[in-house]
Amino acid sequence: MKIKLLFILGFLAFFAFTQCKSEKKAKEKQAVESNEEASGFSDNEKIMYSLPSPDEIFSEIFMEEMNLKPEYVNPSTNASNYIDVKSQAINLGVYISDFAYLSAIESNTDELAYLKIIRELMDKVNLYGIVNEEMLDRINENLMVKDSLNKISQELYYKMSNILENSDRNNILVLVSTGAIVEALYLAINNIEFNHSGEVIQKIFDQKFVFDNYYEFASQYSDDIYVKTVLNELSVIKNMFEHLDFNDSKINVTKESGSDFLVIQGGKEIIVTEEAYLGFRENITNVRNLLVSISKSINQP
Amino acid sequence: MTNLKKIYFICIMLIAAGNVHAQRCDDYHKTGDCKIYRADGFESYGQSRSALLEIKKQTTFKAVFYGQRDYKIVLCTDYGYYPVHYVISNADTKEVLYDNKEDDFIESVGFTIDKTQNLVFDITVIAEDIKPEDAFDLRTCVGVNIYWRKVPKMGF
Repeated sequence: MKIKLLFILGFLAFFAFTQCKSEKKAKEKQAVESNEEASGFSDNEKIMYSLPSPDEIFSEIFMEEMNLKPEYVNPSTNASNYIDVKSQAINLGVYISDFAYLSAIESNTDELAYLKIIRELMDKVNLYGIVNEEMLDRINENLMVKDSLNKISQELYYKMSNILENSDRNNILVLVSTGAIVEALYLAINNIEFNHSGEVIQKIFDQKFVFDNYYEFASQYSDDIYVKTVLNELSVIKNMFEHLDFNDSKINVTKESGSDFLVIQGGKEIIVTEEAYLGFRENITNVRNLLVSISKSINQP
Repeated sequence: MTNLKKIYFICIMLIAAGNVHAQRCDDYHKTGDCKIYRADGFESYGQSRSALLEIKKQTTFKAVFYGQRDYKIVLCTDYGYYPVHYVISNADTKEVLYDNKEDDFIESVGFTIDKTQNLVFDITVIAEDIKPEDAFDLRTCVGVNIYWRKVPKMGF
């Protein structure tokens, strides 16, 4: 009885200690903030970023009927070889994109296997219960209903993002988002040749805006060693996007006649040349191969 | 024994309290005021967000809006904390595209975009009926629900 009581009192003391510590940290942060305000940088401008899920990226790019190529996804056999947190989190993102891609292929039924991998990797990075038996059942029932699978994929991505944000694990969220975005761009660009007619290539290049948001979001956590390393690895893509040519027209906002709907016209349009396309494909392929490579994952960090 | 149970209960409540604030706004944008009741082909866009915000302080939200799409944006907060002021601008040029102050702080806006761009939403919960010194809580949930659809083809 006494031991139990001592245990509980000990726990309460520990809890009080950690609370004091957080309070101390908060006070230190407040002090830094007031210094920042004094020097003209106000903390009032807290920026929240929202990134589209891989299935939203694919549905934007592949609005027209396309022959998707499942041979480009990261093989499921690689999953068990990712042994450190960095590669587990990054490849969790990679497999989420693969799942979204496979879900869009009519004849494919590999989604369930990929979802099981996603569940295993989630467990490894301490994200329990997102992929539960109920979700697996829903997928089993909807293997042939691709729209439902897309919804499940989106739900999975945003649920995971919420959990990581709410538990102050944005560094892990950055790693997962890295894998998801790079894999989505890799699958998209390898799906199409430059001479393909239509808007698909333009839409792939439009993902620059997603990448910009991702990069700004990730940079907020660059004091984390894994995030810092990843940003370094992605700098080649960042540079490539920064050196693209644009057609820039003045933005004009008008009101649609007879309604309150606004019409926003103008802005930047990326000029897609064959050189830009080949550069994109080469850079994204190199970075993606680096992220999924097994030997790399063994090296810390 | 009763004392032990009380201590257990207090421990559990202390642990739970830490997470409540962050999570209470989860999926807030999917609730009541943030919903639109006439879909007209619009679907929910995954980049919709909810957050716990401090009143009278500006927060910035940034998201990608793809071109050739119609969007409807609905902002909502808890009863008593309205109005919510928001200004939409282009992330690159910083050009202001819309300010809901011009429409008496209306909660929703619809627009069509022809070219993909990053838009910035500067959001301030004005909560004009709440005086900070009297308020029970200076923080409230805010939801930004984004709906989108492909621009419908015109003509026959």
